[in-house]
Amino acid sequence: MIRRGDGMFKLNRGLRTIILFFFLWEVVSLFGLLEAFHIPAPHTVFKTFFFLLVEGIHVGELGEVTMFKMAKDSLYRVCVGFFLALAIGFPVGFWMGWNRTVKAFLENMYTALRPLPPFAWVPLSLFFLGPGNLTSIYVIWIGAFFPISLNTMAAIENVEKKYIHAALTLGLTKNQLIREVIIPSALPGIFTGIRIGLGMAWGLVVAAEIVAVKTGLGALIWRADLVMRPDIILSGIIFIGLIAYGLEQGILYLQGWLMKWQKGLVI
Amino acid sequence: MTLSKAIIRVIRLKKSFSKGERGEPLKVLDGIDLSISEGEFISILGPSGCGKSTFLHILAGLDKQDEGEVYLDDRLITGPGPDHTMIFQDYSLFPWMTVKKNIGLGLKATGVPPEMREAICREHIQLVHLEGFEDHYPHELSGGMKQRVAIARGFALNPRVLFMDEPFGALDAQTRVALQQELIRIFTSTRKTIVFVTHNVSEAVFLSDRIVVCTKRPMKVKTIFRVEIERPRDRFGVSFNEFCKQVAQVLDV
Amino acid sequence: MSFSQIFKIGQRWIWIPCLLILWSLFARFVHLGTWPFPSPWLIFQKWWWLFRNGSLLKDIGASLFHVGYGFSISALIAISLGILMGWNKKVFDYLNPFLNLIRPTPPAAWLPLVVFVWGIGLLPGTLLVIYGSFFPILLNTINGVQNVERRFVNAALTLGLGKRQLMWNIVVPAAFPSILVGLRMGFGFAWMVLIIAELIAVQSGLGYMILLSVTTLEPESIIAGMLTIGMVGLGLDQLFRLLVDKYILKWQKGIVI
Repeated sequence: MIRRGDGMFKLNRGLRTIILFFFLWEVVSLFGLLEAFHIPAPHTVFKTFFFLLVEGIHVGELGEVTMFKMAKDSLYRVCVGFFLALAIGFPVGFWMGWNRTVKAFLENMYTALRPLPPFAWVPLSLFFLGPGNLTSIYVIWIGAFFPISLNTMAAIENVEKKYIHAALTLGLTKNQLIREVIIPSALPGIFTGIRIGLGMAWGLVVAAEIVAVKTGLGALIWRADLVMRPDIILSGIIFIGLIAYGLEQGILYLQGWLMKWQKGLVI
Repeated sequence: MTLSKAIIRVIRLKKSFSKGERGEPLKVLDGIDLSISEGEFISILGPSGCGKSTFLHILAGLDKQDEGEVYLDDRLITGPGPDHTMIFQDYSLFPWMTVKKNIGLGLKATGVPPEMREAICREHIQLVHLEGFEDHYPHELSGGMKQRVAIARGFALNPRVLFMDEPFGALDAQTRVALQQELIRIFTSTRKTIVFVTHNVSEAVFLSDRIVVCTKRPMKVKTIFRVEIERPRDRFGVSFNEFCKQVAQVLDV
Repeated sequence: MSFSQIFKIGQRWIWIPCLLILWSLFARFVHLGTWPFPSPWLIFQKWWWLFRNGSLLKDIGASLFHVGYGFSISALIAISLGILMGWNKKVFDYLNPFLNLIRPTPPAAWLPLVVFVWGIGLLPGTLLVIYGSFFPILLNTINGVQNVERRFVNAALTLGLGKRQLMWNIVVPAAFPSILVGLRMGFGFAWMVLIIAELIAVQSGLGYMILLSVTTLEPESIIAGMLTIGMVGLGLDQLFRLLVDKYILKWQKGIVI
């Protein structure tokens, strides 16, 4: 039984913690206790955040930058790399989940390659592809490929046999079976893979930009470190986190919209 | 005719669930009055879904009623506890504990010293004929054996009353019969008060001193039978079957 | 051994010779830029050389130390907090939204800040590993505690267990499989984040070694290092899986993780 206002009450508690956190941060920095750590006060960070969004700040080698300009570069790389991963990973995963022989062929290769962290490809990439977009896109692609393909494979494998049997009994052809039964059934699992893959992609682009590229949000916060502007670093982190949150929510929303029939079912 | 005092008194027990999209409350228990004597084996018999399980859970303190009171030895029952413990249909044995640990858990919780715990556990393992299985894990046992562990676990606490919620419902017919006989044997030697929920007529007639037949939802007490057949009861006897017929006729389907 | 049996086994391992052949062809005929792509043989030679002269083992040791250190600390904090948050609704309501705000932020984003405050070295690397592995462990622990089957709680209550006994005897063991899943996942993340940290902010370990090989123009070392990173990661993950199987199998046959 849900009492009226229960949800609001819960929001209150969490909100209180967050407000308390910022309040303490501000107080501690006002007392100068954060000087040793060189961490700026919240109000400084918010001011810088605002400036970065609206006006642009000069950050060393990067010149005048705004948050959006940097974000655009990062997002561009993520898009290319992620869609590449989707284009290759989804079919491969589907095939592996559908066909046991294919899975047998590829499974061990997967087990061997999966524990290799995607970022470990960076030095090799740098060496042969040079710094720049290619390297970051490659790393993003590798990073998103595994979650997408593995989750797709698992989702296809786990479609309940009873649905397949029912469909075949009703006379569906193989293509219809795939379109009407298999894919809708597997959609939640596939979306999990997409969500994880996208999260990886975003995390990797930021890291790649720190090492290998000259533009983008990762590059921004790294440069900010070099020119001793922790307020820019923190602003950048907040923005990166916001985008990460937005991406995740976007996928969840898309998933909910596509799967209207699953309202109320536990995913 | 038993003249023992009433160990449990249920007074005007009512409960509703606020279920359904339209928010209509679902009346489950519609005013139950019952008096249970010490040392008797009483069954609550009713069709599936009538609310007898809910009723038992309230008695055991695992669920709350909307109206009415339940008294154990003149004290209100407000929550679960070892003196009015319950045995469940799905055994609810803890899979990460051995048989011995499962049986001893309640004792450990109430602060019984280890040597006494050891002795009580051993005694109750013997009681249910599971010697040799003390260090086995639940997943290594059959359904019937698991239920015996659950029974041992309940009896080991030496409760004032033992509640049993269709304990043999998940077992096959043969194991069921065997366990019914075990239970009667244990009951006759310990004379514990047992409140037993079932939907199986012959089970109720075989085991109980009294049978409370309930209506279907919303549940009310329909009839109370007193089973005067002497134990051990012959399932294939004429009087037994006559009695079962009488009870079955009263039962809503 | 029948033909079909050989075929079945062959299926699983055929990718190795295939890969090696493709690789050798790639190395011979494809040119990426000015430097030739190293062949498998060269790489193996380099790997063996690095192994023999001890530098590989040194780097492996350094990486293992970094990751073990960070992961243990993270696991300790995450499991404790997870049990508390899963068990106590109040604490959960207070902390969950705040943690949810931080969670989506990728570990790499924190790197510049950490380096700014603490410079380059072991501490920033460890901090990053802690951050990277924290959330999977925390979330799975909370999940495990919150999803303890009601019937176990009921059974324990009816046996007379008090709240504290309930927590330690029932809730924690019942949540253990979930916690182990979280640990395994968290370790995978820890290893990943470690490599990122070693490539940027730490001056030792396998990640640093492969980065160095870029500047010394030794692509064979890069690949040899990558292979080692993959192997160590695989080995440790399999170790976790063995641990999970051994513990779970003891009392929960048939549960799939």
